[in-house]
This record gives sequence, structure tokens and C-alpha cells, in this order.
Amino acid sequence: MEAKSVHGEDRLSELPVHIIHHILCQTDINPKDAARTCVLSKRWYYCWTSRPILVLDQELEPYTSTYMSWEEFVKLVDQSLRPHVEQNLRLEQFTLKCGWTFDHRPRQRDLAYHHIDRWIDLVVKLNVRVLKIQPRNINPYYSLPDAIFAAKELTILELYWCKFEFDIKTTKITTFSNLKELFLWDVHIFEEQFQTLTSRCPFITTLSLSNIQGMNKLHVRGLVHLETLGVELCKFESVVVQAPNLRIFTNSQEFDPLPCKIKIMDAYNTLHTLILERSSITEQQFQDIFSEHSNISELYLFSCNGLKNIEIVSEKLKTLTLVMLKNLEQVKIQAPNLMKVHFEVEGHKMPFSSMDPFTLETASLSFGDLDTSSHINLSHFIQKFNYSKGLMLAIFCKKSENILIYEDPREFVIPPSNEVQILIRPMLHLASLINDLLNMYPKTMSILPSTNNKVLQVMPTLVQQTKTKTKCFYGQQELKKVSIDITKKEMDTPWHHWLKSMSLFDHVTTFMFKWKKKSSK
Amino acid sequence: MASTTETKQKKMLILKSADNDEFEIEESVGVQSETIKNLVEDGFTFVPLPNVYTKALIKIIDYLKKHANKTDSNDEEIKTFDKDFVNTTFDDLFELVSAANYLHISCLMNMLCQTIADRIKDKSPEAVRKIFHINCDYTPEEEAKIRKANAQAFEGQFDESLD
Repeated sequence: MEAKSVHGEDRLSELPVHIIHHILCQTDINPKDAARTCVLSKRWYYCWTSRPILVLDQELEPYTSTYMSWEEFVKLVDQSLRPHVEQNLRLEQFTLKCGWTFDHRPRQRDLAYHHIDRWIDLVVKLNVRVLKIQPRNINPYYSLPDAIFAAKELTILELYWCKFEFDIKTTKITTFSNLKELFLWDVHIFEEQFQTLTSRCPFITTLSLSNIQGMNKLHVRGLVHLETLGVELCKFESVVVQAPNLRIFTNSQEFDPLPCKIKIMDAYNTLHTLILERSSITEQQFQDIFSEHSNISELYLFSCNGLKNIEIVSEKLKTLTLVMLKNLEQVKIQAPNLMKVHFEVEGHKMPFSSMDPFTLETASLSFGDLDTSSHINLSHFIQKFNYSKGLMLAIFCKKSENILIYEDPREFVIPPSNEVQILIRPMLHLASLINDLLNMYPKTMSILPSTNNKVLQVMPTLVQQTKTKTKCFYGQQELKKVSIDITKKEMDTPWHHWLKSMSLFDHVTTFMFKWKKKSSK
Repeated sequence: MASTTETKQKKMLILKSADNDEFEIEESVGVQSETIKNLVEDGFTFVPLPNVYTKALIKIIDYLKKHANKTDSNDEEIKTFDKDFVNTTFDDLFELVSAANYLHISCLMNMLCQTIADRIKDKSPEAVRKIFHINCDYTPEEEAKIRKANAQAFEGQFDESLD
């Protein structure tokens, strides 16, 4: 970008302080880059030190696990908080990330805990609104001080690796009447404490629980405003949710999940998104939830091995994802408004033969080694899409890494490859289709164009991109080269034979791609 | 252009810039600005904007119109539009960021602040001062003291280029 100040005046420093704060705290600028601005001029020193969002991380560079010493970190946090304390400045957010292992040095650990207690006390007195405490890698948990229960201005509270120590009878807990979002990750809390805490957060809309210790059962109740509930990696025997306005429910467990009874009461009309990952949910529980909540429009099931037969009758379902359901045998779907599906099947069967895909606009279908009859079923299934509304069809053969795109797939053949991935998209989403296909790192892409030739119009841009200096990354690989009009010599032989045998070879335009694995830094 | 019958059905607003130019826009386009939205909710259809000059207002109306019709299919188009939008002089950027701030258009505010932040990233303080014509009012002793107190931020290699 070419942006120069014409008059040579310093108009940046003249911007109101809160805009400079926005630049320093609410963009993706690295905290070190932002911190260096304090040396630019006295105005910038003031802007930096008075910033209302304090994110203090003991890690020197993100994700490197290299930390500044605890002494340095204490100095940094104290120094950052001083202007706020001395001048009573507004403190919007306080995020504390520290990571160390003090297991074998209990005295240092206690000292560290003492500092965190002190900081929490200070920021609560400053009426902090967003508080995130993330002491990592420490053992045992960091015990939360009672000071936190006076933080009445909180809107968001995120706690990691902390332990609630309060007594449900004697500890005074304020009503967090502004709290909207509560995240408890790797946190220790007893069931009675959880009930007491949530009863003091009557207005929360988002509750996220991950790897909770201290509780066997989760019973969410009394949260009238709760819209989003996530329960992840918790070893609960049962999850009972009573939240009349719940919209999104996510449950994910570890591999080989222990049985967990899931019951969603209320929210019969509001629940629209149901996400279950590695869930031990049984067929009966699933059918109960699904039939009771008739407004579910998005359903995502990943590795739920209790599910063999899924029967879905829904007027509202729009998006359906079924991935890695290894015991799945049969899916019966009657959903006249279904628009988008994503199926990944590993077995030899095609479990949704009976489904009518006429309403679908977007589909991603991935198969393992299908047997012959399933391969035929697949062809029939693909045939039944309503291509007259401008859908494109792309077929990726996973083993040979070749792609065939039909721009106007009224007639088509599916290559006799065992493992195929099929993408169907509206013509309008061409750019995202090409992007998704390139993320599969194909060797070749053969396009059977329609009269308006949309794909062939976008390809030259890609060819151009790989020729310029800018690197084109897709996932873990870099696209090095795209060649057009390749000869049959350059093409993979079986693929070429197949195109020939189907009399496709003379009609397709084939592009060839060269990939290089991203080198690690 | 919309036909006359359609124009009648759509609610319209008039925005008046600091240099007294008037612009008619659809209400649905205007309410992406929190400031305008609050006025509309109070029943106003004529909105004077004493802090926004015509030049910036024209660009901002363009932005609002583009973003009012966001759908799945024009996502790419909007991205290209945004990229062109911020590809301008610093003087324009500062004018726009002040206007976006006054109008409370948070997505535009984020984009403009990000554009400015991108020019600070990885740079040495000397380079940042030159790029934005920032006059250093520290004595060398004061500057050394601040660098020492924030030593971690000054570790490593920085980009000294002015582009």
C-alpha cells in the first residue's frame, strides 16, 4: 500500500487518544510492536501507558514456550497497572497469561499466587469489565481469591486452571448483573459452588465449560438468557439443560467417551444449532432431542459412535454435517428445506441412498473404499441434484489426486476411483470452490466447461499469481506452478486413459499443479 | 436507479456534511452507523454531521452502500472493495478514521485502525517516526530511560524501511 502524508504533518498523533488506543489494542498488532510506540514521543508514551486494555503475557513470543523470568513479569504487570491505579484510569480489560512450573519450588509458587491475588484485587477495584486469568502449566490449581466475587462490573470472565475455593454459605458473592459471558476451562469447581455461582450470573448469554473437575453431573438451570452452551471434555455422567432460550448447544467429549446422559429440557422453539463431537449420545437420546426441538436448522455430528440409524424428519433443517460416524448404516432424511450437507463416510457403504438431494445447493461428500453397488448408488444420488439452478460438480480422486470439474453437470460420469470426494456448489461460489479444491493439493484439474466458461476465466489469475513474487499458500503447502494445455505425456497415464475412454479428453481443459511443502520456520 | 414507486416505499434520510452538502441515502444503509441509527430511532430523517467533511462522507456512503448488501455471493467483491478503500493517502485515512469514529461504524473503524497498525508492525521507532512525521520531544536521556524500562519490547531486529 502506498500511503504518504502529503503535507509532512504529524496528523496521526493528533487523533483522539481513544482512536490511538484502538490502533494499539484492538488490531492484530503484536503487543511488542505496540509497546515500542511509547518511545515515539511523550504523547505516544501517554497513549500507551493509559491504554484501557491490558494484555500481559509472560511468554516472550506467542507459542514458543519461552518465558520472561517471574521477576521481570511482576515488574511488567506492576508497571502496566500503575498509571491506572494512580490516576484511576478506565480499565476495560485485564488479561493475565503466565506459564511456569513451580511444582518443585512451593515457596516461589506461593509468592506467584500472592502476586496474582494482589493484581486481581487491584483490577476489581478499578471496575474491570473483561477479566481473563490464565495461569498455565501449574500444579496444583491457582486458588481464586474472594476478591473476584466483588467484581460487579464484569461483562466477560474467562478462567483457566483456577480453583474455586469459596464456601457456599459464608462467602459473599455479588450479583454479576452485567456478566454476559462465562468461560471456565480446566477449572476445579464443585457442583454446589457451580450452582451458587451461576445463580449470581442471571443474565449470561454464553456459558462455556471445558475439562471441569469437581463435578460429576451438570445441571444448568435458572439461566433465562442463556443462548449458547458449550460443554467440552468434561467427564460428566449426565448433562441436563434447562434454559428456555438456548439457541446453540455444543457437546464434545474425549476419544472413547464415557457414557453421558444428555437431556435438553425447554428451549423447544429456540434451539437452532446442535453440535455433538465424540459424544456418547445414544440413538434414543439423539432422536428425543431432535424430535423435541423442531427448530434445529443446523446439525453437526462428528464421531458419535452410538449412532447406527439416523432418522431426520424436519421442516427447518438447513445444514447437516455427518463426519466419521463409523457405525452408521442408514440415514433417512426428510428435510424439504435442507440446503447444505457435508458427509464424510469411511466404510464401504453409501448410507444415504434413500435421501432426495433435490433441494440441496451445497454438498461435500467424501467416501472411502465404496463397494460396487454403493458406487452405483452414489452415481444415482449425484444424478438427482437439481443442476438446472446453476450447480457445478467437482470430483476429486483421492489416490490419483486428479480433479474433474463439470460446469454444467447435466450428464456426467464418476471416475471409477475407490476413494472420491465430491463437491457440489452454486456457480456463484466459484471462488470458494476453487479454493477448497486447491486445499486438497491436486496434481491435475480437468475442466469440462459450459458455454459461459466461468472456471476458465478465473484460472489465468491463479497462473499469474504463481508467476509473481507473492507466495500462494493453501493449508500446509505452497502452490509453485500452474501449467495449462499439458500434453498427454505429462499427464498421469491411468487418468488420461480414462478421460480418453469416456471421450472426455478432447473436451476438457487440464491444468497441472506443482506443490511444495511449507518449510517450517 | 430505483424507479419512483420503489423510492417512495423506501425510507430515505438526508445527511448534511460539515461543508453543507446534502446527500440522500436509504435508511437501511445509514443505520449501519450507530450515531445515525440513534437519531433515526428518535424520529430524525435529516442528519447534520458537523464533524464530517464532504470528501470523507462521499467515501463513507460508498462503503455503507457496499456493506448494506452483504450476501454470501458478493463476499469476494466486498473484500476487493475494502482493499481499494484503504489504499489511499494517510491524510485521507486519518480523515476517514475520525469520521468513522464520530459515526460509530465499528467494522469500518476496525479496518482503518488495522490499516494504520499495519504500518507500525515490525518497524523500528525511528522508521515509524519518519513514516508518520512524528516529532520526538524526548531528550536522549529520557528516551534511553524509557527504552530501558521497556527493554523486552526493544529486543530483536526491526524493519527500518519506510514503505
